[in-house]
Amino acid sequence: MSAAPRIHVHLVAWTDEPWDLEESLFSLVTQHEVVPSVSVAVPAANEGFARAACERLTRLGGAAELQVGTPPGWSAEAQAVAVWVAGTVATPDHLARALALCGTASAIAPARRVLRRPVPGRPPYALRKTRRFTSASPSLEELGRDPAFLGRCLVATARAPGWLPAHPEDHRRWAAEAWSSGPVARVAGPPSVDIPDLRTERGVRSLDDVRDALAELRYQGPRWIERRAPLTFDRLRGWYNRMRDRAR
Amino acid sequence: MPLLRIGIVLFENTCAELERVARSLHASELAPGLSVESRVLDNSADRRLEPLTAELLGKGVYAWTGANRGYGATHNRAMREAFSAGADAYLCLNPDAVLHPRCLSELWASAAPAETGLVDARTFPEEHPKPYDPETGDTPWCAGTALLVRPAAFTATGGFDEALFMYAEDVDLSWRVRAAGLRTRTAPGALVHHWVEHRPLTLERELRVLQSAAYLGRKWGNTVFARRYDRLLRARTRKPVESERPVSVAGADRIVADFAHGVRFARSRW
Repeated sequence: MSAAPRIHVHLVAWTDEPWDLEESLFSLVTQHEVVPSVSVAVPAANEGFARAACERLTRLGGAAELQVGTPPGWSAEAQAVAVWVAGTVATPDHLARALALCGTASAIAPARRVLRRPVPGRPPYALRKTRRFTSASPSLEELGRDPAFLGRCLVATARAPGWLPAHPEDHRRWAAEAWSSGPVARVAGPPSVDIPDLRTERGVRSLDDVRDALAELRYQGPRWIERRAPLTFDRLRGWYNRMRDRAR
Repeated sequence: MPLLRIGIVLFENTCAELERVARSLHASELAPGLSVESRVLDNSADRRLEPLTAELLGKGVYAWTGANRGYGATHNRAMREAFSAGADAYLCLNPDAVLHPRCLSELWASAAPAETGLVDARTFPEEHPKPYDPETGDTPWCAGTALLVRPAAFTATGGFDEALFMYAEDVDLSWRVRAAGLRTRTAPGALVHHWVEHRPLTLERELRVLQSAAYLGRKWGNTVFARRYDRLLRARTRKPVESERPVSVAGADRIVADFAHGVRFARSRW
């Protein structure tokens, strides 16, 4: 049996919210079929908390390796690199599915934005999660409207910039270098990553914003019918599936 | 010393699942002075998981029930045992879940107020979209993945409705607990890893959901809702459906039930 592939994940905390760090680490130690090597970059005041979080989640016994601090690079065994902003959470199959695409292109996972409200002494309260439109070969402009967008990306180490970014402007520069090193492709399937909505401007300002709204409507519309008229929904779903099968 | 009894109901689970949940129990940080013990009831066809359970959680923890009696009925048996042995709370824990190391202490802290009947953990990575009050934790119903039950809630309700074999038994219990004047809460800091979104919706599972929904409608006096899901059940099975006749909930108690949001039984945040 071959060893599970190793992925370096650089987890950056931009805020003092300890729960963001805790949830991202919990998500990383529960990834399937890969071994995440996680470096955790936090403001100096939060290093004690970060170490305690790493220690407690290591006790769950997964293969992930967690360490606090920004290393100069990643180990030679790492096959790909991801950069997460604390608060990013992924499904357990996310890194493995993204890695499968990394041989030919940098992988971009479909994602949802999570708008949260801070609650003193407790985890932030998720007000809503909204689906983002993701084109087949997403541009930096399309993704970069979210400050935490790098959490959706996985870049093969051969194509990744040889440094680890910290601040938001570093994230854009890192992504620009990664984009210029080869093709970029969307991972198939439903959203596998939830990124914290850290935008300061949430109005509709571009075509990409309209596409996001339509992607959300495309998901929520059928759910709305299903909740209010389940029999009608079932019939519509049956017709849709038959038409789709006939078209194939 | 307060005692928390953790009940796990097995049904043909894998060894890996049992190992993961046991490891997370061992990694748990406990509130000072809290004593925790486990009880595993196995509804599987054989006792295959007995040796592994003993190895992971200790001898005397495991009991084979000999038949699949369903989630609610089996937890009811374990709860009766736990509360008659003096437990201060009982945690229904899914065998395919993984507790965050702080989950137990966060659940225990949220259960402290005297009027609390039930407390659920926040499912992860996909949080349930039902709302909760971020300050008090009050929520319309508590999910059964990691559900802490206080003795007062069990005494007031008798536990899960055993006619609900699978699905919505947690909704029904929550409504009865609220109707009894107790509160149902979410502990926002209690995370439980339970990833099921990738599992295909089999016809059997879908039919169970529809059966439970229709049953809940009949029990809580919403005949429109019950008929809607009975019709859908007939459409999916293409044959007449034998409807179970539950004992109806008293009219005044029905105020806690929410049938306006389909089988989510609460407003969805997303």
